[in-house]
Amino acid sequence: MKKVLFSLAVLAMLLCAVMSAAADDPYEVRMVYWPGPESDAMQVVIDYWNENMAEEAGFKVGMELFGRDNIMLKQEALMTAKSPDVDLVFTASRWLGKYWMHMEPLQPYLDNPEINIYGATTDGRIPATVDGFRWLDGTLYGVPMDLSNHFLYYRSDLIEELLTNDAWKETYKKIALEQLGEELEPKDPAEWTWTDYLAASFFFTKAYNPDSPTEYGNFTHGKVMGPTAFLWTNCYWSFGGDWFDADGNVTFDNEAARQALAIWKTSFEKGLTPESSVNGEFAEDNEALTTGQVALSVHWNAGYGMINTEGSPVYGKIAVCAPPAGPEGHFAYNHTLGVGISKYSEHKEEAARWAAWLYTDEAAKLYAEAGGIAPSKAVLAEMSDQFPVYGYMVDVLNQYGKNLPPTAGIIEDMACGALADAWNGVLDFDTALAKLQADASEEMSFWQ
Amino acid sequence: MKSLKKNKKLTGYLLLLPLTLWLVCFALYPILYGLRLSLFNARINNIDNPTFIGLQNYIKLFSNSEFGTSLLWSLKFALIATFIQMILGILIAWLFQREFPGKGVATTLILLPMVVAPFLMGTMFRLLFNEAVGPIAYLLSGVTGTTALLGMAWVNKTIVGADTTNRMPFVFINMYSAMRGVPDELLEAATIDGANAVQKLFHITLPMISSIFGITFLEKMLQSFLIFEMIYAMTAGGPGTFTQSVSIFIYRRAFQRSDYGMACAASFALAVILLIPSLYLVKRTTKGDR
Repeated sequence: MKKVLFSLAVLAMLLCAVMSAAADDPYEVRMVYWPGPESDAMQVVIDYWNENMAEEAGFKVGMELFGRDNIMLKQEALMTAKSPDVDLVFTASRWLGKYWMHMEPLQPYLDNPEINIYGATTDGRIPATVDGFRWLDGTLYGVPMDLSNHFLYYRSDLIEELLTNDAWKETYKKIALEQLGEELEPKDPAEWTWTDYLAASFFFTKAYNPDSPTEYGNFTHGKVMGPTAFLWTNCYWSFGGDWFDADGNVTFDNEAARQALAIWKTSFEKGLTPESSVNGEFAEDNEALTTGQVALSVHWNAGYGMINTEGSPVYGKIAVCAPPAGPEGHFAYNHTLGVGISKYSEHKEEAARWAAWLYTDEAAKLYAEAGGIAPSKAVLAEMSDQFPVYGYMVDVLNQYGKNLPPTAGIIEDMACGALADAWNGVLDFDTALAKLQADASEEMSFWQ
Repeated sequence: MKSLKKNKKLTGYLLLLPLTLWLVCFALYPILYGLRLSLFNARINNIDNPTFIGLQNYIKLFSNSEFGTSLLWSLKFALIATFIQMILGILIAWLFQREFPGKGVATTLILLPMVVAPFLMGTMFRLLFNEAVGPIAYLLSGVTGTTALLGMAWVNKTIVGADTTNRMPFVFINMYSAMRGVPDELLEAATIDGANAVQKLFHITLPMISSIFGITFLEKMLQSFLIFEMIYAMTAGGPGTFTQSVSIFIYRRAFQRSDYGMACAASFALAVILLIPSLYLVKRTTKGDR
């Protein structure tokens, strides 16, 4: 009996010790992020915070990775359940219009010196990226952490040959005349129009030019998902179109959309892009460029490091420039990834202090050095000195960058479905655009 | 005596209680909640205070051409996939009735894909059929004439092939075990009467296993009709809406467009649509048992 009592007493003491130790642990602010190069960079920032800043701030930070695919589906479950399980949610400028009502306005916290003990402001960030995290009434809901944008990727070795080899030039002119009805001269990709893009795509497709060093001219994303529609939007903008007019009305059923769809459809219909690219996206594009299957692609900036990496067969042979121009000039789509405070967090003040620190150049620099693209003016300028390509990307963005309004996320799925039906020939252009116009307009009426 | 009877009854109710509670919490409540939601305009922006709209979601659903196209695609897919998988499953089960060296290993290999989750299978196939780096796409190109197995021309056939690899083993194992239950005397008597193998299959084995055949057919049809994970991983319903099954339609409504009311209406409409043939088939299948 004595032994039993003694054992119980020891157990009780151990439990007390464990519980008191747990009680002494500082709170851990939980933040959702998506896995990949962005979370690798954010982990460095978090580690720095936990080692150097947590004591002064009074809490630590932890990151929850929800998976890259369908991250918003998982967050939606938390939002609709009003779950306090996470303190900061992952978001993007294009999603803000769909989820701002589940997030906490940030500016009051930034203005409170007791919470924002770092005196951080939004001034250090590129203004467009901060504005991307504001709802239409101007309320700020998040911290822009990572830039995502589009470029025209091209094989610099092949384009150089095209610009200097007379035989190639002649073949190029001949193919352009046959396929596009115009005798076009090869040009520097930075000066291309979409017609030049198609001409080069024909030239680098074996079916039209048996001597082409690549099987296909370009890789065109076709998978049914928002980002596919965003890639097409570079072309749509360049023909003078946009998703919404100045009053916020949906504007898809127009001539600009038909012209931009025609460019995409030509790639799919004429076999200028691998046939399976109708279901392809980021990963397939990387593989097509890396294996030397294609010469061109309008693609995400995040792919650059994966394609042009040491050991890759195309290492040193990949260059980028702004997507081709239309009558309205060049446009380079961009959106920003970031975080915002969950409305259902029970530790909003801690979450806000962390968010305020993320606005500092100190955090942005750590993030950028770890491989992220923090939209901080000072940090980007500094990083551009170290990596010229990086600097060039920033120049393109400054010159041609454009983003969609925060309401785009509401209709991105239906936009991509209808556009893909049009360029794949499932529906004709008129039917697909009329359907998209009607469906998207009706959907937006539920979000007024 | 009376109290013993009462105690027995009470014990019965108590034993039923855990399962009843489970069903009420995790089946009945979600079903009723979903049914209620189908009568509301419920989106992520108003989930706290959805607007009652009566049957408008149902009316909109049945006038939506995309829903009709998705239903039709699912029906076509279910018929083709079930037909292929039933034929293959029966044929292989029949061949496996005789003994041959390595039968155990062969059975395990055939059953192996069944234990792989369809989403994982779809992800694997997406890589294996990749036009640039997919080894299966490359190996099959000798037969198909192309490596673009996820392109417009091949994508439907590829999905049927992938689904067959994943789900045909289910038909095989059901048919195999049912065939093992056919009395040897009947087959021997038929042999003595001069019946050949095919005659024995059609006139003895299949009629004897018709009940299991019916259940397997029903289960397979429903599985194929409601296919989701495999397609989601391989094509997400694309190109465009070209391979959009009805489950993908509902998923996109609920989680891409956050239109929970319409998604619930589509789910209920689908349940009713499937209930009619299901009840008929169950009735026919169980008729013989009674």
